[in-house]
Amino acid sequence: MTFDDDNKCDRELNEVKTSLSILSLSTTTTASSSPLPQPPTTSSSLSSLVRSVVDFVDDSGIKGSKPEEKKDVIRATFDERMREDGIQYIGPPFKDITKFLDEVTEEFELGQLVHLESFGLYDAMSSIEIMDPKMDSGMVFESDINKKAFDPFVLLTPKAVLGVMDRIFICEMTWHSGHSLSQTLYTCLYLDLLDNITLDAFASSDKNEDSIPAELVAIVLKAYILGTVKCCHLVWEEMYKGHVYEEEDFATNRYGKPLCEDKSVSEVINLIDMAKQWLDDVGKTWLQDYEQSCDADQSSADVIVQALNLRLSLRKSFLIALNNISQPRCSQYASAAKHLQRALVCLNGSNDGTGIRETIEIGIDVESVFDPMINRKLVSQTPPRPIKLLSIEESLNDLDNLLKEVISICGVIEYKSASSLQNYFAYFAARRPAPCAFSRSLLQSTLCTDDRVLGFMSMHQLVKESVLELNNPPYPYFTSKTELITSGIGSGSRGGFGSSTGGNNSDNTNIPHLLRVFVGNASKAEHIDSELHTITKEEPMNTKDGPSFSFYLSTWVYHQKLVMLEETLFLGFELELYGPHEYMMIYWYLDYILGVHNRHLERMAVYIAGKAAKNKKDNRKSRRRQSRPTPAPPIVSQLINKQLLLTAKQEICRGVYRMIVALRKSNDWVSPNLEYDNENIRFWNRTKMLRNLGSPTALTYADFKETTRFPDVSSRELLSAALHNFETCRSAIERLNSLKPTETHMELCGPEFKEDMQNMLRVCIGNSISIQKMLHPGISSSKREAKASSIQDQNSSTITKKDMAIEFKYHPWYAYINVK
Amino acid sequence: MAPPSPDQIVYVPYSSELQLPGIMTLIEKDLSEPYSIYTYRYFINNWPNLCFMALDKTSSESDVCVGVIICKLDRHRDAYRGYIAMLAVKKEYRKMKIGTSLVKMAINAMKSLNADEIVLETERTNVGALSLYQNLGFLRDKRLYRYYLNGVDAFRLKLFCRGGGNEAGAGSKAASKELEDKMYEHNRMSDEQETNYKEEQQD
Repeated sequence: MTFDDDNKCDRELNEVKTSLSILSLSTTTTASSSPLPQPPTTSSSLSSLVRSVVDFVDDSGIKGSKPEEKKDVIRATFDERMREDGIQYIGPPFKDITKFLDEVTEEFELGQLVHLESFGLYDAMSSIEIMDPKMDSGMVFESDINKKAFDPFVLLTPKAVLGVMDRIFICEMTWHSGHSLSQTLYTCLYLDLLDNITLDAFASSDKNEDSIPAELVAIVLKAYILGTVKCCHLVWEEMYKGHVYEEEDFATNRYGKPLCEDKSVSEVINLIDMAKQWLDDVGKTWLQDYEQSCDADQSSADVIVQALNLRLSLRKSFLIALNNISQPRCSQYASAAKHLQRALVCLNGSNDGTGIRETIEIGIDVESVFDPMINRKLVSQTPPRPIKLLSIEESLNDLDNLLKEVISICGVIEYKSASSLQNYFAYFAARRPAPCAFSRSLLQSTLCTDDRVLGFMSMHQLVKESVLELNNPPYPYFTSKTELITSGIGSGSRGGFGSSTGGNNSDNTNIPHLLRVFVGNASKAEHIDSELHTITKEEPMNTKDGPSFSFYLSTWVYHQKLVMLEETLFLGFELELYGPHEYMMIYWYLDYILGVHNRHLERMAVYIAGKAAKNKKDNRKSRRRQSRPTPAPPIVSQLINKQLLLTAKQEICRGVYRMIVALRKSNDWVSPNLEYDNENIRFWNRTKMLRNLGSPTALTYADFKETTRFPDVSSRELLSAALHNFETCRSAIERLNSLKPTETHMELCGPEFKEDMQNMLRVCIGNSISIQKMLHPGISSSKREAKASSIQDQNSSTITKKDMAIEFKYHPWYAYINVK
Repeated sequence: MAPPSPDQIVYVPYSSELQLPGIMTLIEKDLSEPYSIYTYRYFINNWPNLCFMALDKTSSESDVCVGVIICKLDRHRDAYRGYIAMLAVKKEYRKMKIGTSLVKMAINAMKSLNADEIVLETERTNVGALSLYQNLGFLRDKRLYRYYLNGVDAFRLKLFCRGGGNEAGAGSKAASKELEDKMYEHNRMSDEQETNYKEEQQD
């Protein structure tokens, strides 16, 4: 029990419904757009029962204290509600305890609250205030009472049918965008009545007087709706696997309603075909007459029929594709891609045909078919925040993106190598606009379902291929004897294959966890390596530091770990996490990590080359290396290509941070005065993750201070050095650009890689020009305005002088310091 | 009516439930969905010492509260974490640093209670809030993908009150020494790289 301060004067406020505060422990709300973490949304018949009790208590009244506007709200009493719903609640009969509560709460002081010991933030936020229309979904409004019931047997004109189709499509895509079914698809009132909508039912409903054929609703519209619901069902099945974060990315709550499970895909496709058939055979002729009678020209009838046909065709293709995709082991991806292409043509048109895009003006709205308040009939305690459905254009664009993303995913089964797959994942996640939830989930399922990668190999095999591609361990590493040992590192290695960001760079919540997994992997791999040294009787190579073993597996794990570390640090730029005053520190750290990585590969290359020379004579053992085709060029040159990319990245980072140091030296870069900021504490916390990884050795704040002071180097010298860095980066990129996609493992994402390289080049060129401007005596830094303006937004970096700006317009990871 | 001036504003800690209606009215203006009164009570009754108000001395009794900050402070994993739950300033009283003053009062109070860090979430599009907190030294710790139901990403902003110092470097040095002893070549390699690297930097 908690007793709070009080005062009797404030009656309005003192409307403490003690009963509610206790009962609200079991009630739940849907989340609102509030700056607090949202409680999980649940729905259960128990909580609905509890609410009913609360409503009941409230109805009979805590007297005289309700706000004025609530008076015109009519509330059904509990009994009536039960009768209306036709629900027989099981359990003991309800007892009116209002009087009792009134009496006991009389003794309360203002603000006093009876609650359980465990009453916490989520409970507080989940509680509702009864009779507040914004919170209480059980309220019945006057408008509800006079509302006419929906009549599914009203005949619709062809344009109205188009309007309904488009609205349902909008609902579907709005659901895809993350809103709940209850506020999107379920708002269509036909949904619950689809089985009843038959031609016979129309005939008996005696409404056929105005000569509009009932088939338009009973066959055409019904087939379209069924097609849509079936599509949603297949999408739901994919999403329900939980690859993306529920509530944030996608709402899978079905509120206990069916999504056409009882109908097979072929059944629905037959209905769509029938609808198309009817349109061509009967509908078209009828429509031509009808349009003429409406004083429209004949061509308008053709356009309407085409518009209806296009929507049915798109639905059919999309449904078949989704069905193909849902088959086990990615076995029908090729067919899916074909159908998705067809859907794209329906959507956008082709050279010789119209697309849906050109027909969106034809439909007319039929408001009576949709009820945005349907949500209140579903199990939910509070009304959800009102949402805005997407526009038809947004919906079409979203579907366009979705189709293209899924087509691209269908292409990954053309497996080339583990590295290519990994690169594909990285570029997929970097796509803008961010891939939709469905395609991200699908990508995860494609990567691995039932321990089948791309439907044909095990995760262990993928890891094995990845290791082979990196450093080509001798054959005994993957024989049946050692398989058990090496499979150990496969577990948790999935993160290396692009799932680190779940296919979306905007969401990097997974990476720290995966890095921890990799720390575990690293020690596991070292252990396995030592065992394997013994098993394979490996002879160490003699180096200047003494005998050196290969450590094939731990080398691979370390490589993957560095890849992830780099990605994590770079993503901070993409996600706008770093303030301009942090850029130098981050680029400085990246420079270090990339350097470590580069030398790690260097060492590997030297080792493999040395080993190869040494083992030339007994080389025949390696002929059984693997059955799958391996990349043609030798491992060493692959490593050199990887190093080339690392060099490009490192040079650009070093160039940028040297530029910043130079600007600081010339007082062109002023650190903002942030009251509670402490650079040392900031460094410590920003590098926390890196410190806990064991390797690479974490750098300290003292290192940072020491290595970025450059006491004897002038600002101009630093700028010249940075210029040189950008030059080196440019030549590295030019060399990378001259390589074939097979040499860089970019077979699955060639264009994206090219664009990436192009963007890096732009950063180099832009920064080089800026440096030239600064080095040029005409606009020396001393002449610039002395006063730096304060920071307004972290990303419009007013941290520098007014004639300078830090921009990420060329590349999301690399800063371009624009000197105007 | 003349625009309000900073001299009219006094800052006071929360003291009575009587102030709650004013606080609620102020905050609800900025929210599309109201919080239930229990949400306010959860914070204010548990941490009355972390709730501060800006009052306009010249206002009538009913709309005297022109700014408010509501916080909590409790354990989160291994940190003692302060959390700024709500901050609101009445529209006509903005651009007077009232928000900043309230946040500073809250930070100072939480720091004096040994908070390790102070966090809050704000929409990516809320430029005003982002700059207010960032100007005080808050960092963007995380991007929360589609954190709000309107589909907008949020940032978790964090002010670190602890960490760093000399012990940090020494700690990691000791750890790396230990690692060096027991780990294999690539770790030795990375140390070596580090040395090379540092030398290179100093060139």
